[in-house]
Amino acid sequence: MRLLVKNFIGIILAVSFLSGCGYKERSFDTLYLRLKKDVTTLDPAYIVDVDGGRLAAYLYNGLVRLDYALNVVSDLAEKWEISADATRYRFYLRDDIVFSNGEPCTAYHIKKTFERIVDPKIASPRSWIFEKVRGVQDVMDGTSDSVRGFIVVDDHTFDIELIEPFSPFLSILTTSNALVALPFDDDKIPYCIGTGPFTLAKWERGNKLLFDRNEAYFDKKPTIKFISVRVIPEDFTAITEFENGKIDILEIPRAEFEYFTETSRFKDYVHSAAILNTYYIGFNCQKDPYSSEKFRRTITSAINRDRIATKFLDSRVQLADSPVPPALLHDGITISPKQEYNPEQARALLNDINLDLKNPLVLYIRSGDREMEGVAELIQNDLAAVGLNINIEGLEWTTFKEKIAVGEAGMFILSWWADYPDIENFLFPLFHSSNMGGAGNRSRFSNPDVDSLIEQARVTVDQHKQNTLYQQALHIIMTEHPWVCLWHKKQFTVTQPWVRNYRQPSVYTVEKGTDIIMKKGK
Amino acid sequence: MRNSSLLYRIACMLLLMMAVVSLAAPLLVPYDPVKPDLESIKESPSWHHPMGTDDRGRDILSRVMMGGQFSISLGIFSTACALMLGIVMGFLSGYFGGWIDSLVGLLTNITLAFPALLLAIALSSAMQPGYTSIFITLVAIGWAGFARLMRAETMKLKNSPHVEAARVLGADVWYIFYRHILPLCSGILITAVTLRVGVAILMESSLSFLGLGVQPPLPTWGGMVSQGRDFFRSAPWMTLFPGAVITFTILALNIVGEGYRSRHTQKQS
Amino acid sequence: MPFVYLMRKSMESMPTLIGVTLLTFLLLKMAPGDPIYAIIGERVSHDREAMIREQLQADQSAWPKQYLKYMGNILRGDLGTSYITKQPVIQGFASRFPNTMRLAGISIVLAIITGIGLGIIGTYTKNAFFEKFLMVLTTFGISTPVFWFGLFLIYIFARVLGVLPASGMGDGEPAYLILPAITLGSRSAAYLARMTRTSLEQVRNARYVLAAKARGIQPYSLVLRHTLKNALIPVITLIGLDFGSYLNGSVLTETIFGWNGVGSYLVLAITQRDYPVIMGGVLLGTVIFIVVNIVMDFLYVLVDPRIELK
Repeated sequence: MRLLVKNFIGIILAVSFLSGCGYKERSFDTLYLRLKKDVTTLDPAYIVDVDGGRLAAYLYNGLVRLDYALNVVSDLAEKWEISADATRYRFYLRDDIVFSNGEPCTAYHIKKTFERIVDPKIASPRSWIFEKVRGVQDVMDGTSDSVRGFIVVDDHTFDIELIEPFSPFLSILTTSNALVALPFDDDKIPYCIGTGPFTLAKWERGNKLLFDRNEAYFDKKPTIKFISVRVIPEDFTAITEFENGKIDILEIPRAEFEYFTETSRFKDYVHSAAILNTYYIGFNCQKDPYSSEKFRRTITSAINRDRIATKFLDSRVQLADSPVPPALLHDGITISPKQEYNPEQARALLNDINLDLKNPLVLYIRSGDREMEGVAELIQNDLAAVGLNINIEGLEWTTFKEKIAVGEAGMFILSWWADYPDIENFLFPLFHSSNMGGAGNRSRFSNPDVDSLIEQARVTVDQHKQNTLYQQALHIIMTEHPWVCLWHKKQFTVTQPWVRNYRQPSVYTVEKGTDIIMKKGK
Repeated sequence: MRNSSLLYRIACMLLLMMAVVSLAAPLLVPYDPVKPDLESIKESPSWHHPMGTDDRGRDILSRVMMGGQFSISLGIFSTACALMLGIVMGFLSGYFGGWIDSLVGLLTNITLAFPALLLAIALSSAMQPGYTSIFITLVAIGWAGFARLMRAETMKLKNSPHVEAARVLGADVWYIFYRHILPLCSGILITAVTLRVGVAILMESSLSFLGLGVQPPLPTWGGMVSQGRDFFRSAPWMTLFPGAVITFTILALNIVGEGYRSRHTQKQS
Repeated sequence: MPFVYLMRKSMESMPTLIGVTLLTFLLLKMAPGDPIYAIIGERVSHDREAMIREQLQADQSAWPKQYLKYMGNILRGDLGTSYITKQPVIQGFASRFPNTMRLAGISIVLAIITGIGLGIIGTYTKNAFFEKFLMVLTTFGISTPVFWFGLFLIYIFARVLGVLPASGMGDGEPAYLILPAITLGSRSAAYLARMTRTSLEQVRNARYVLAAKARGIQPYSLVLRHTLKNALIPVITLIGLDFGSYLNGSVLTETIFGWNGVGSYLVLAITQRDYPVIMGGVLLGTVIFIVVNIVMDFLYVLVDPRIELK
């Protein structure tokens, strides 16, 4: 019996030996990365996902960009001026910038790129990034072809005029959608010509992407020659590839967090960063029984976030005090009231409320997300402990999003990831009543005071005044409990020892692959 | 042939044991199979937890026992329904021929060519995803195989002397069906059923892999294997034990089916 | 007349083709989940959302009309473009189908060799214990969840032994095929071994085989020429069914091994409600199913001259 098994293994070994001895040696000119699933597009006008934005950073540049400390720094524009009334931005472009096809990049290209985002024919879902620019509405309505607020002053000077002051505007210019790109004539090509440190050499849909170094890059040139990105859906497989040295940088999957952080071979090469995101349980504030603030408070105080975070999530998260990640809270904004775990209070509140339920309440999650499934089970357990029984329903992504967007789901676990590092990004889309549904306000929260506070803060440039307004808005949100704020998830990556100078960014647009050095040995 | 019957008996015993344990699971489980316990996360197998605990601190043995209820019943009931549908369709098609045969043939072909996953996803989003939606999926894709088998057998048997005789004597169709044709096909059908139950159990695990399994926190074998696969390296027991239980159950089913078939064919020849 | 037969058989398959596509079409109309949610991401302005929705539902006519229009486009060779990636559906499948084909081909060859081989050994071995062992071994192939088996192989051969690549397709080197092919083919191998044995046992004591034996024909020739050939019909049926299903893609194996085939493409499309891609995939699958059936009919004739193409 043993013999047979041995023979079987033997045959496989022999066959694998014959078939070209496994696979080629890897090259140290190339940085190997992994994607869980292929990106849908690399055309800045259509990018809506984190992975797309991450790869787009290799191909394109914006007028400005973020550094690792999340400051806005120069990119295509070497400097910029903002008018006293904060409605006119002037960008002075570098004069040595060329697209990878050799065409010089001028203010005219920037106007064209930005107009594409709002062009109804292009139908970019990210038109909102320019909604405050003068003349954008006319283009969106089709009454004008050109945006009046995008002004080409000369080849290397570009002005943007806003209809009113808009505090996060500079920060918005760092998003993936505001990257400057030269589209191909054929609109079926899902990427554009860029100015970035790399060019897209090959894209085998569903399988891999290959980036070549752009020898004409205007800024610091990368030392690596190629970046090869491969689609590996299964975590286990990706880990094996990493251990075999076939992937250079790997986001650590949750199940093997301990393995990587505790094995001596890897633990010195683990990087982490607080990512700008917030995980939350959203309540549909317009649906019974979640429309009652008291009921929302009951659930909030029944959930022991701390225990879930430390025991189940291995402290890979930072508990959230408010919807806004701490890195975006300017000094001077304090959060009150704080969310607290208080099962006795929850039990007492629940007795008070006198729920009359025909069907058990349902907590919706995205199916297939096994970490969230665990979190949901633990929440279910916490709620059962205070006497509230709920069911969990996992739906696949599209159905899940639809159920929430149309307001059918009463309670759901979701997360919000920053598009740009500004506190506004965590308040206006999420809690302003004009953004209900797919626009971001999925908890259908509507409070006129919050609305007007956020509106004022958005047009206030004075930092101190702005802080006060945001703090007041946050205070109302924290007392109304449209969310149970769960945590901000940190991201952990592990790199091969030969990958030097890698830093884990906290916003995905930061890493451009120009700093990394690949060197074997000490 | 003594050897064969030994294996056959072991397999029967194993199946019987599985059935009893699963049925009595609510009484037998040493721990709550559903309630998380954050104090005992990812414990390796020990006297307290013979199969270890999962990432939420639940006893895997208890979950495997409880999961049997869902997995086995899903396998058996879905197969039974598919079988009933299949033999009726197959019989009608083979016995009457003509347009009925064409129609059933078309339905069978459509079913066999239709992507099962599309159906599973459509069902799980149209109704509440879970046990029922998986059950319907399994029946909807499982009946066609039985129908084909039954049709072939019916065609073979319908012109045999004893069926002719019954027809001449004025027996009605249903009488012929269950007295003269069904008994003669039972051997081959039982083999097909044992195989199909296995396929259904595996199918459930595939659906769980794609996130279309039963809703948490209820355990199924397929769900456990699929959920534990992330921990293949650091906590292999999470996926190895449920996987082994699936393998041995289906192995036993197959041995029983095979044994039954060889006995049956021996009797016939 | 093979040609006439081919034509008639294709005509006969039309109802299946129409049935499957119609059913898919209706299912997609009824199932909840809107492709727009895969396009717009997490934040979109209301008017843009309305605009994109309008573009997606540009065709407001009743569904039978829409269906006829779709089928008309197909006859003209136009499968439409993906809602999500904007890539023509034909291209999407054309770039992945060769991968699927390669994997399916190697898997089925592997399955045929090991399956029929084990089947023959099982039938003719004198050792009862060995026979049982073979049976249990082959049954293992149909008893384990596919992905579980695949992960196990990756762990052993790519990690512990380090002799084979864990995933991907490389630049087409055969090494990348081995583990996925074993994972995929093991199930077929098990069924084939079983079917071969059952079938052989029925034929091995038939009169013509005994007669050949009496004439003193070599044992090898006896098994291969006289016995196996006559036992092949059910085996071919099985091979055809499995090969057909492999050609439709196998999402689990593809996911585990990062193999870029049509199976995972179709499943991704289903989860994103990418209607044109789903319809294209279903169409492709049905055509494969029909072609495989016709090819099997021809094979029957080749193997057994008594069978005629009707």
